[in-house]
Amino acid sequence: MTTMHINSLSKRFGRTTILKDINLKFDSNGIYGLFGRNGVGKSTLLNMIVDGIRPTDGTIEVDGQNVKDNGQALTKLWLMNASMPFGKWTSVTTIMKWVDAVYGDFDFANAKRMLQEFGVKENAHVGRLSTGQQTSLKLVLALNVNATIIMLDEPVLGLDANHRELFYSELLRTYSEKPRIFIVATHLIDEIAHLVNHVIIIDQQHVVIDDATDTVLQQAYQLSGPQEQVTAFGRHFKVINHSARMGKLGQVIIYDQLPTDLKVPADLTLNHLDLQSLFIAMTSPDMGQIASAQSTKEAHHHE
Amino acid sequence: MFHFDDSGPIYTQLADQLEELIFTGVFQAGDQVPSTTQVSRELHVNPATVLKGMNRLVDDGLLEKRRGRGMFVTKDARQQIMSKRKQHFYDDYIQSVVTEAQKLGLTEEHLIELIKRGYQDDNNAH
Amino acid sequence: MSKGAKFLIKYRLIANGIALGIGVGIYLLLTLLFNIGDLANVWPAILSGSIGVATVVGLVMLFVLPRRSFNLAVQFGIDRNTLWWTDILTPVCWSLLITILGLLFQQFATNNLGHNQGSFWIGMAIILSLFFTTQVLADIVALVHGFWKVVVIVGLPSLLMSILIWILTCIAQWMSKTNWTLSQHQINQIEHLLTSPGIWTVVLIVCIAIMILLTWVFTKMIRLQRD
Repeated sequence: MTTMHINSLSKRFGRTTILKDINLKFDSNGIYGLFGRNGVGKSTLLNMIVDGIRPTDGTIEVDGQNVKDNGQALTKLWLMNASMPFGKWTSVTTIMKWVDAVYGDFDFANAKRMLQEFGVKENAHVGRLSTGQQTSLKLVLALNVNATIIMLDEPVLGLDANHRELFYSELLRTYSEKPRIFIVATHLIDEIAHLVNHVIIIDQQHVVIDDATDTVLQQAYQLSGPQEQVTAFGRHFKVINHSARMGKLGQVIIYDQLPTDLKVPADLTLNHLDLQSLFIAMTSPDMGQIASAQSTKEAHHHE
Repeated sequence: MFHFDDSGPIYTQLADQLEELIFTGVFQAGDQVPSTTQVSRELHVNPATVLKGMNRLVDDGLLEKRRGRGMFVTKDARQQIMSKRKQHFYDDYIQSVVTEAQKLGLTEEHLIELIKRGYQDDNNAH
Repeated sequence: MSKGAKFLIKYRLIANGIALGIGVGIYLLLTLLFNIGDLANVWPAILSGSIGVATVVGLVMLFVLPRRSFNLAVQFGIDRNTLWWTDILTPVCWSLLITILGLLFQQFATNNLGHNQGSFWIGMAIILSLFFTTQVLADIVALVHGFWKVVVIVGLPSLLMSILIWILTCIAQWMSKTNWTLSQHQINQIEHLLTSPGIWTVVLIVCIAIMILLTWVFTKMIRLQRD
């Protein structure tokens, strides 16, 4: 089993720091979800793991070895992202042979089956494939390559709903047969929420959540009811976002361990939150401040 | 078939829904339940989560592992579910009915009337 | 050698082979255009002109082959040091091969055709070697984003080389015309030297060495800057 440690990783482009002191440990097999808003640095982070970009600070270690200029460590990894490193005239079969030549033990049988399911012809060359088919090809490579840490950066971009479903099934199938470390970075959080057993959320240069999915969801609540009571009761817990919804009704998002015997006041409702809603609340500027600013503006307007 | 929402951990919901299928007789004693891999793939749920749910049913004595073959419904699974639900019937159903009835101002007698009517309608339907 | 490195060498050999074909084609075309009378006397002009062409072609190829080989290297987990070495290795191999073939042909031509075709083939060898070394630089530069860096790192050494050789040939021609402080015998010696394959093989090796050195220096500088 391969392990990976990301130690105090930072990245600065010119004067802009996009990632600061990132610490992550991948010590067991699983499907890790990597979430964050556009531009937060997910793709950069994944690129640094495969030594495509160098960090400003910190190290990435695979099985205890630094990945920097380390071919041995790097051949345990595979990154699938938006780039297509293969030439227009390279055929699908050739690409699979290349992957086999470098990583060995490429699962040709399974790959061929998957290509059929995704509607990609083996003898086609890259230039003739549509964007969706190119994505499908890259997925087939990623799920059949003999690597132990596989990273997928926006794997379902451009895929229709049917193929997305197919991808999730195939991911789970190969994971069941050969458990390893999968890191999936995606914006479609609700589609993948049940697949991932570990959640990592990056926001404003830092890791804000790094925990098992069950643990995360267990602490995610939505408290709603009359504004004043919501505020009064919610005050006892870690409120991460709040919004005034309609008239005197308000709502807060809580991320906290609540006591199991908690008595919720009668007019208030406490619900569990799904992963995507939690993510939005956690990575949005405080909606309550925006809402109150807006209502102040309206009040001025009416005067 | 299966439906998951935000009401609690997925593995709990999965275990509950499987339990329901055993209770209603979809899976009979000695039947093999779908494998972890199958469930994982069909429902798009992480295999570890599926396993956790299945293991809860194993711990509760509703499923048993047969090495190399899979998971099977135990002989007295249904009876176990029945007695557990009977025990919890008061907490799960009666309390909320009484609370609601009181909110609506229904008397105890009226409630008993309604319960009697419920049994009659049920008998007539069969 | 890692599987990745072997794979990349094979890939680069093929890619460079294609580039070679283009380089040879351009050179032959130029040779034909400038073919007035005896090749031996026209070669300085051909040489420096073709170096310029090779540099331009190299720059153009810069965004095609090297970018792809860097992206491929990252995709296949081939580290940068391995990439650098395979990139040095493949063009140098091609260059040496062409030089050896050129020398052999020169011998054959002199013995059997009574022509001194040496300058043609040596010229060809130098140009293609410089071309491929430009490719190497281009590959290294592919690790860097930014056109101005490309121009500096790839263009400058090639330009310096071209200027150096041009200066040498001009001096040689001028000296042969003006009898300047040198006796006819000395001039003949120099002319003989400048048209002998031996000296140009040495020049070739020195050129490659300088290019590799410059590449190394620039890479270190760029790495510190970019990464």
